[in-house]
Amino acid sequence: MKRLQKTLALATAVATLAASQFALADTTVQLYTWREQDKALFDYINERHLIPGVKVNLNVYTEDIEAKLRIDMQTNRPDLYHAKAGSAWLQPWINAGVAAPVTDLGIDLSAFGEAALAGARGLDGEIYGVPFVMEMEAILYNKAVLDHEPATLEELEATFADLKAQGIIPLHVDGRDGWYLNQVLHETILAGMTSDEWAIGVVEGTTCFTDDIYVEAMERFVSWRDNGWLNPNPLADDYGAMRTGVALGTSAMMIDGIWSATPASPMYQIDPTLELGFMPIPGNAGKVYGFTDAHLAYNPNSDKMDAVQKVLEFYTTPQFTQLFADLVEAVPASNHPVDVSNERVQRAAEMISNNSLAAQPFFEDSLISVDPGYRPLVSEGMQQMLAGRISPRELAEKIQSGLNQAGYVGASNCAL
Amino acid sequence: MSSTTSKPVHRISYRAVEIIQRNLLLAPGVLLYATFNFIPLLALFQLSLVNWPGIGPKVYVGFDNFTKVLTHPYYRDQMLNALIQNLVFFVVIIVCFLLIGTLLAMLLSVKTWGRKTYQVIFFLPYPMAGAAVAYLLDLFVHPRGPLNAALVQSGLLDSPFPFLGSEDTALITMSMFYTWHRMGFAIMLILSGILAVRSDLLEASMLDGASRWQSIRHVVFPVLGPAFILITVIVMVDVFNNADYVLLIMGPEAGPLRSTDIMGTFLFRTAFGGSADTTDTNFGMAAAIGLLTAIMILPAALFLALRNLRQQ
Repeated sequence: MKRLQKTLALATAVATLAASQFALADTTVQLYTWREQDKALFDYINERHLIPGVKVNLNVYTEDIEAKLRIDMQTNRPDLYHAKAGSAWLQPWINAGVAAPVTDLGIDLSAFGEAALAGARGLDGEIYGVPFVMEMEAILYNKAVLDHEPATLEELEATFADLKAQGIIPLHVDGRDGWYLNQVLHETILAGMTSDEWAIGVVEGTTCFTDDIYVEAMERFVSWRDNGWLNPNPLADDYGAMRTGVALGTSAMMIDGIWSATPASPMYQIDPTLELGFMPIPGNAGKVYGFTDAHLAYNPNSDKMDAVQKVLEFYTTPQFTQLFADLVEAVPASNHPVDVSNERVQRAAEMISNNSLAAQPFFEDSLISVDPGYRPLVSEGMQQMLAGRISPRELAEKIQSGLNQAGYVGASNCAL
Repeated sequence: MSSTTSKPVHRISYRAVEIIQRNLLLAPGVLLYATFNFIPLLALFQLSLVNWPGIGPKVYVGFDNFTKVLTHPYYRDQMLNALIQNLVFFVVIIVCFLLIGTLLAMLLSVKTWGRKTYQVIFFLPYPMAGAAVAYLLDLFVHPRGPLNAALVQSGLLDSPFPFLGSEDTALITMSMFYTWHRMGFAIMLILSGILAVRSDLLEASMLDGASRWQSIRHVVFPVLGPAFILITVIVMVDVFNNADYVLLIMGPEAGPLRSTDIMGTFLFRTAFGGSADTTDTNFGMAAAIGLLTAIMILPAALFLALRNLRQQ
């Protein structure tokens, strides 16, 4: 009898423990992203149970994230996903019913400024995600090779000439990848060498790509290639080759995003002691290209909506903002005050706030909602220009005529 | 008095048995083909009639996708470019297969020391995964890769040669990758053809005074015809429908300057978008491109296959 009592007591204890474990078990949500640099952040969040009752499983696809999302949404697997900025990116997901305004879940967005929210705004004016990261594109340089920042274009070109004389490639660019050519190289040239007025005008349709300011900026860039200040065969080098050159110190500078300077960057696998500096192209505008890179969107058909809501709410908290700055070492999108000890993050945040181009053509509906739009036209044209197939004037005309034919808002102002 | 009634015996004719046996033997293959090829082909046609970005509602557009691909300059020019480059890609590969493959197969057919080792070496790349081959060969011809290092250090070149960075050489380099990877397959097929040549025919030709070249030309080559046709059909179908190397190395943009764009990359870019722009995607148009590709290569593939059957 005693044995039976003991057995029953033990069984009850085990059942109670199991039930309590079950009750406490975290709900796992699937978050799809291309941002492998966020892995450490989510490991930290999950290990410390910072989102009560929720575990976030990060599905990282550095290439073809859209294709993966399209396929997996058919089985309703993603609960959350990092969305790219701009309504053109969002619209197909909204049309398919797999993106919905975060305000539907009562998410408080008061901690975000208009600049950050703009990237998550759909054509209907609703906000479809919680912005979380600002990015910046500029010249990144290896501090072991270049010990000073030229303040003018003339100084920059003199530095190029010195570096070339030392057998170092002054400026390395990736001529192979379409996304790099239109989103990074072209936009950084705009930020450094055109002007706020021109950039705002081109978005509104009041200035044109065929304007002198744009053509002269591209001519200056092409003169760098003609002087041998770029890598010898830009079209042979992909993004990895560009970053490898700078990490090894065989190239001094590259035009790239600040993400390459975060701890997750593969450049530090090549040289763990690498120190990267960054500066705008010191041209007419002398600005960097700052933008909201991503926002956290959700699948309204998810069957884990409570957990989804908790993750979205966590993204709006000061705690997430601080963790993001500390662990990802990138610039958070919210206005929560952050104690940033990292000098690089601090400087990037200041540059984005105070010295970035006033408009971002790459994300503007007026330019990218047309078909074929700004992005393919720029990427094809930049590659042709780098290969010497077309001149800067022809690049300008190619972009302008392509946009005009596709119904660009400024077509009448910029008729060729 | 007993009467016996003899029942007529219904025997199935030999011809009927033959037909039943033939149909039973064919049935599994036909069923498998219908399930995995024919029904999907019909589904592909259905898909080609809609505008669908891969998610959400499908919008029926009739034959608009075909019209757009064939008449809209932006898409038509891309398709023509891809088609012409696909033909070049195919011709380079098939010429290499038939010339180098035949040469190597003939060398392997001679009973010499180490023949088996060479057979293994030539066949070794074939079972390797396409992705592994693509990355290995990309590293091999890279400006910082071993090939360029050897060429520069030996003084043959002053600076690295942009094998994949020049629009003049990128497609040929890609076809060399394919050739290197699949050459073992061609060699094995041709070798089996050579080994099937009856030795008495060769001996007879030599007794009749034919030279070694004449024997090869008039006795061996005619036997190799079916192997050549089989290789041609298989390679044609493969290179017009797949684009694994280009997609893995050059991406869906198929650079530089679309010089490596073939039908497979054009189809992929239409369905999933390129790296330069991921917003304009249409599975319906991609299905239309797939059907057009099938229509383009079907006559040639059928002609070669039927000719092969007739010869046999």
